[in-house]
Amino acid sequence: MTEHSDRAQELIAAALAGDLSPAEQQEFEALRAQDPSIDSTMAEFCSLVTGLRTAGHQWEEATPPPSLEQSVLSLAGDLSSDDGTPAEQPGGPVPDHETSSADASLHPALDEQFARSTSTRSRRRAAFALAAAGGAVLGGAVTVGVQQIMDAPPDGPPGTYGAVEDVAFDSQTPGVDLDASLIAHTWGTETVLEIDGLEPGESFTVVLISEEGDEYASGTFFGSEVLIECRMNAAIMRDEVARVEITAADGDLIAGADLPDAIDPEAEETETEAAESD
Amino acid sequence: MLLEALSALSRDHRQAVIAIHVVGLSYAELSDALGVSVSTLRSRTFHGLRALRQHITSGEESDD
Repeated sequence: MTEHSDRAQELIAAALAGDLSPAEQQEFEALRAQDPSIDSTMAEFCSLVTGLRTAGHQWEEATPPPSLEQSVLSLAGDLSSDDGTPAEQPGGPVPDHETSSADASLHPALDEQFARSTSTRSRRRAAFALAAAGGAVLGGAVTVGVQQIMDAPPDGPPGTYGAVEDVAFDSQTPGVDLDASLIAHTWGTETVLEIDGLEPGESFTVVLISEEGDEYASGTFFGSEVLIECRMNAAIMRDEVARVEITAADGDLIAGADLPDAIDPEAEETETEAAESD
Repeated sequence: MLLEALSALSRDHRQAVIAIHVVGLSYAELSDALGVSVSTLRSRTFHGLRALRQHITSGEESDD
């Protein structure tokens, strides 16, 4: 993995959690423009963060068996005190199973924060709901803010800035469950993927291909046992993209789709302005 | 494998990764709870995620 500056590392971490302020968002965009390897790092973290989030959902939605609960508690064990020994819970032992799961062992200060909620489990569910709402940001592109994600995207033909364009794959490896869409931006084209069934640990690449056959790297990711949600970017305008492909490390085509012609919003705008001035 | 990789992280890195990406706290919430700056927590999370990925990758390579 490429080494990044301390500031870039901080912004990457914030972006993965959807935690960038507007000013930081601008700073991050500028850094990404200067250093494309930031996008590669974001893509590499994508499936990892999805896996962590999914693990959290699974933990949340089901009462874990005692063995699993103990396993997680033991993993979190030395989080509860600086010397690595489990700290006593504020206010004494808490026998209720609801408040004795992993989050209660993160740190005494965290325990106090969770205790302010009437239900730790509800508190965590709300947190996960927020995380899910910002899932696109967690996914890695971090090119749109949470507010934009919450808002309905604009409608329009392929190439319309911000509009979500579903991709219909004409070839797809059996056993791979895949949903994809493209979003045109002023700075390039974003590919949104939900993909399942890829070999865990193997590397895969998303490439956008121009009409001339030039390939534009959009990003790479690892196969995973959980559903992968990724957002990747390529420095090619949507109206110049003719095809999208996902390939394995050995070059095998996992999925491919020829894309319909797209509009150039800026050309359309220029034509509209010219028509209005006549 | 993810749990195993988490267990291999340093205490600070694991704490940040779990709090942010499993529990779902914001950096501001975690900062308030721990008295550690947001900047430091972001850095810890980055290094934690990088170590997680390296651990998982090396585990998969050794399985081959």
